[in-house]
Amino acid sequence: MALLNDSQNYGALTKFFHWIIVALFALQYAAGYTMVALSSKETALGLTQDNYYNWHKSIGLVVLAFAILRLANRTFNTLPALPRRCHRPSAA
Amino acid sequence: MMHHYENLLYLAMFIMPISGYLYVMAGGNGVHFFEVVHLHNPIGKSDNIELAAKWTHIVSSYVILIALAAHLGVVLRHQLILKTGLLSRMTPGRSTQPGTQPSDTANPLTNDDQL
Repeated sequence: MALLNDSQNYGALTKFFHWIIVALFALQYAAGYTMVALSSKETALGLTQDNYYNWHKSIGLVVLAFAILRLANRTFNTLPALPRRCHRPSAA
Repeated sequence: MMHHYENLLYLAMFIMPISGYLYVMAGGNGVHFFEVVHLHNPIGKSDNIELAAKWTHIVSSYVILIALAAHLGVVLRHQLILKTGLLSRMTPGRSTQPGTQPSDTANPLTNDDQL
């Protein structure tokens, strides 16, 4: 598997960016939901509401950093063609 | 079509952190970055910015959740019903997508139908 994309396939860098964002977005939805569900005196999994707010905000800034790198990768790297069978109207 | 749709998901990666940042900075709550350092607030308190950013953050989170569900739905449909092996394009290792290689490798630069 190549590091960069080619005309047909996504490279390792694009795949890494994709899955790291999947993980971070999952954490963000979980932390975001938890922090507004908790009261300031409650804990969940040993973490306080404050902890969840702090981690949610911090991970968000990490997401923004990855977003910038990812947009650069999508802009300056080759974007592979969609597979043939995705072009059929029935699969659109 | 699909690549344009993906651009919306890229937009989500920017809208959520930027609106969230403006929300907590304009609201005066700030960011205790990984509970190590308190980040400087470059914009100061602003009720208007806080309100706009807050609702952008909240409404976008639900819109994006729907878009992510659709994204997942497309992959599941390709994987389980159409059996195009679409998922292998994004999983680590070589793509094992059947049905795309012969025509595509013969004419790799045909992107004219990529709307």
